[in-house]
Amino acid sequence: MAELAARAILLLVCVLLGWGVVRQFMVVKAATMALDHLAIVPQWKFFAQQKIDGNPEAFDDFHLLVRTGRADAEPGEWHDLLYYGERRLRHALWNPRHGSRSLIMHHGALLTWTEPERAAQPSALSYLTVLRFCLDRTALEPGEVLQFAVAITCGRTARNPRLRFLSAWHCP
Amino acid sequence: MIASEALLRASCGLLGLFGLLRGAQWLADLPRWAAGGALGWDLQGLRRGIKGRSALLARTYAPTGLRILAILLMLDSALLLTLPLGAITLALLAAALVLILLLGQRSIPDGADKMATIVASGALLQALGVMAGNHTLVLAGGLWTGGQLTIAYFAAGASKLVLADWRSGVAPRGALSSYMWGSKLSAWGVSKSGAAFVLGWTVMLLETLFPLALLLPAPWLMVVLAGFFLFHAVIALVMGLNTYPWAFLAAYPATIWLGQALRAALALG
Repeated sequence: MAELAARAILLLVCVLLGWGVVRQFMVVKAATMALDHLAIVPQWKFFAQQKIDGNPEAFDDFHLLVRTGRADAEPGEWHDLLYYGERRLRHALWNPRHGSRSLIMHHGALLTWTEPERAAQPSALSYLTVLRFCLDRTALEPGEVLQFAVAITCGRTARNPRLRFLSAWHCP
Repeated sequence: MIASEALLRASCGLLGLFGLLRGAQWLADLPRWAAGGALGWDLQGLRRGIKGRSALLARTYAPTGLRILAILLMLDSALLLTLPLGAITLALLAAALVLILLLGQRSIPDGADKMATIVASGALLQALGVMAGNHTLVLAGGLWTGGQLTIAYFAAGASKLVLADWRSGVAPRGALSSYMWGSKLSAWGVSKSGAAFVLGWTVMLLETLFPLALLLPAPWLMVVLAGFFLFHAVIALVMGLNTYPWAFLAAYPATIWLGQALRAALALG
């Protein structure tokens, strides 16, 4: 009986591995993303998602910008609230903020996506996540409101930001 | 031939190293996941699906629950790293599997989390097999972890090979000259004529051809794996992906075991 169970597990492992090979070359749908996230049939396309091919903005840097304003005055200047600066050597060993920062950036990037074939789509959750982050990090005085934007820049040469998403004005 | 027990012990120890680092990084970054913040579960729990609806997950992913998970992962990992193989190994591996999965699902699990999950589940099967004297389970565990690592490297290379931007060097130059995925040094490196092209093809060919390394004698396979570990270390340095080297390193013992089993099955010596 134990041997039979072990053989069944071995068969399951073979099936999952075979499925895994095939799945590497498929576009994963949102509905089956859990198989990837739970490492049951994971995809291992590091930096090789189909979307990067022929996309000149595939590796552009995202910037989360905020500005504040009042109803009776011109809005203030844009400020970089979240962006990637120069990498530090210690990040090779200790980089605890990588996950949370990437997740906020992921939500910001999602807001700029418009193609319907993507597995993930812009959502109210992404908007609220970025908005909360901005409100947490910006000291607003009474009567002040805040607006955020997602912009992109290219590498170390083309540093002029290009706007990709603009929020409404919000108060805390 | 290296014994299954020795390789399993190595897997447990290396998984322990990953778990210690992952748990410590979670503890260090906990304030960012607090309720009321952008990543608090009071907001993130609004997502659609089972994760958002579960009351148990809501409690688990509250700040106190997260702290407990991270501390438990560190304790479990320390024991995996230090204790010899025994019945307790099964419990420690099962706990590591659950904890890595739970913490990974709090965010979007990255490749390191997924590989660590695979190592924990594969080692659990192997440990069950070793304890019960059941070779089929040992085979299933080794095949699962070693097979996934082989697919990971092969797929990473093959999926790049089919993209024109990787073949031309545009993609590696773009990634390594960005702030998000590169560094000052890598940006300087790929700015040299032809460097991104050569780098891209080197990475694609090495990754795609990795499955052939399984047919090498164990000492040579270890040399190849040492090269891939160095590759992960460089990626950690350039891209800041610092948990990947440890998660992937933890899969190497099972891959060595799989290579040995494959050579034996093919009567290669």
